[in-house]
Amino acid sequence: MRAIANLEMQLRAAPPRPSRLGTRRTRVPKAHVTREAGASRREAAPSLDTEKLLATTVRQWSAAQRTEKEIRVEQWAIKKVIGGSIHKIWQDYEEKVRDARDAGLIFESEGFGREALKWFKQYEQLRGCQAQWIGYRAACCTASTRPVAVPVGCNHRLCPLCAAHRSTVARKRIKTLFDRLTHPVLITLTVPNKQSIRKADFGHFRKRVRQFIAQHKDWILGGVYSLETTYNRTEKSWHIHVHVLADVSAALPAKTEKTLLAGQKVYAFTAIKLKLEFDWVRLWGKDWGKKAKKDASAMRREGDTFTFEEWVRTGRTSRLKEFVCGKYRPIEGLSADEMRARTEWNMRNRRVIDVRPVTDRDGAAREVLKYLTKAAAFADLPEAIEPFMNAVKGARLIQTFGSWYGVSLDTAADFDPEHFEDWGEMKCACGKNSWERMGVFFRSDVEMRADGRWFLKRHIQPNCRGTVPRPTIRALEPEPEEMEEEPCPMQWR
Amino acid sequence: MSDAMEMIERVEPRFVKFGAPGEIVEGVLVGIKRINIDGKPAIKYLLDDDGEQCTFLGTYQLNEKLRPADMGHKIVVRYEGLDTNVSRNGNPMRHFVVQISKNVINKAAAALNLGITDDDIPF
Repeated sequence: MRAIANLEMQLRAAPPRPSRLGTRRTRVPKAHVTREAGASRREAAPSLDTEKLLATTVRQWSAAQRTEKEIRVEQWAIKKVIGGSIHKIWQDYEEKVRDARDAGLIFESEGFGREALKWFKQYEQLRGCQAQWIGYRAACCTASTRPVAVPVGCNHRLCPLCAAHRSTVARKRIKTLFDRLTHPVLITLTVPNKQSIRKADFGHFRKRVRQFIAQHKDWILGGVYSLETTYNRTEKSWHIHVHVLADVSAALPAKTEKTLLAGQKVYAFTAIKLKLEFDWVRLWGKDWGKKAKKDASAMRREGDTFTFEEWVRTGRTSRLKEFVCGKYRPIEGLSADEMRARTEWNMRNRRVIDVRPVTDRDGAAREVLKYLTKAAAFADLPEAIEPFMNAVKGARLIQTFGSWYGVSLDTAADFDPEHFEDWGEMKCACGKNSWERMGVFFRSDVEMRADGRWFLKRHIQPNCRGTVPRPTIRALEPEPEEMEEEPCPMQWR
Repeated sequence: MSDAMEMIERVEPRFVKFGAPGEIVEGVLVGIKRINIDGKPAIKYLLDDDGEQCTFLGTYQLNEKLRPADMGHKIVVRYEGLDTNVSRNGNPMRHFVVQISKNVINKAAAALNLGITDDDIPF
């Protein structure tokens, strides 16, 4: 630290790592205040900055200042990028169709043609999202309540507009379900990155997650899990992982509680985490055998404990980092062969998992539902969009289980009369809240209020039946009667 | 215009773009503004160094290190270079060293502070 112009300066430390949504920040340790003998206790009084405004960074302040309009602009920008990527995929297939036709490859050209049509449909689906809106007027107090507008969404898996809405609705439902939880815990289970993804990968992963939950059903009572996929741009690899928001029967142990594991005293929390990791590892390989069933013999269960302790011991001898001076640092003095052997063992026998108690309920709900909006991270890469869309087609990425089983979280973004409240608090002036459909309107006929609510523009009368022409159903229209051909009146001249 | 009246030309703040590691910008933080660049939100900082003003855009680390409560304090920002270990969308993170004066230098700017602090409470 240096002094500038006789000013006492303090160095501002960087955050430990880029923050993730829903994860807890590392709390800055409180500075120890030393008070001289006889000094007033007022010096040690707690700060009056209860809202933590002094500790709010510009980034947090800026995020809090975001208006609904700005959020909407950002979503539109992402949608535009995704649309561009899908358009490119469609055009690439069209080009392949042309090339195949020129080369006389009829069979290939038909295959490419089907792909081109598939991506064209997706492009049109995304392009038509929220192009039309349904207007609703208050049936009870039409004159004093402004007609509201509800968008017709596309429900495309990557559409940021629909995903944001689905996420909001699901988050609201998860938050209400939190009341049922006694000890909410957020568990993240991962597997190593893959170079490609297929639909079978998701099915396989879900099977393993179900097995993991079933193995620990005494501890995990119920909850929701979501499969999330991220794309590493540098290595061009896929990372499938799962976030499990679970209600557990017993709270996680306190930070100070210690226990004996494989001849060493460790924190009880660490022991639980290692056991969960070991069980997760065993589900993905045969090296450590299967987990003993509950009704297995005592010898079998003791053998299971021995295997776990063996894995812990080998893990300790194969570690690459050590805790020195309050920080994990790479172990020095290891030969290249030793380093390679240890790395290989860790890659084969260790998995990254994360277990933490939920303190921020909104953040935890957001973390679980992050999969809905995560695709925006690779929206500009057609080479990533195509395999991702093919892999997740029809795949269930969110699932409730145990005590939460049967609760529907991922609902369509379309208007549903049974869930009218999903589009916000629909309240008319008289409070009766009786709404009737007006018709379909174009995007140019609606406007957003500062709080994010959508209304029909003021110039549209409440008795308007919509600006989008209604499709004519020919079957219902009366057929024009066939006119008998009248003889053309002729006249002699 | 009267000849006796001394006029000073008001010039727009110098825009600083950190390029080479080691570049230093210092001054009293007198403004934090949210702006839009190509439709994306960004933060613009305004520093005043004895009448000479300069602005620079906030990066991830600057936005994390600086606080709205720092308005009116003297700040020193030194660009350290790129941190290739952390990247987003292929862009490596820019690393900065930020120093903040412990005391307020410009009370008028501090009054523009965006939140209520202990200094605002008269007891």
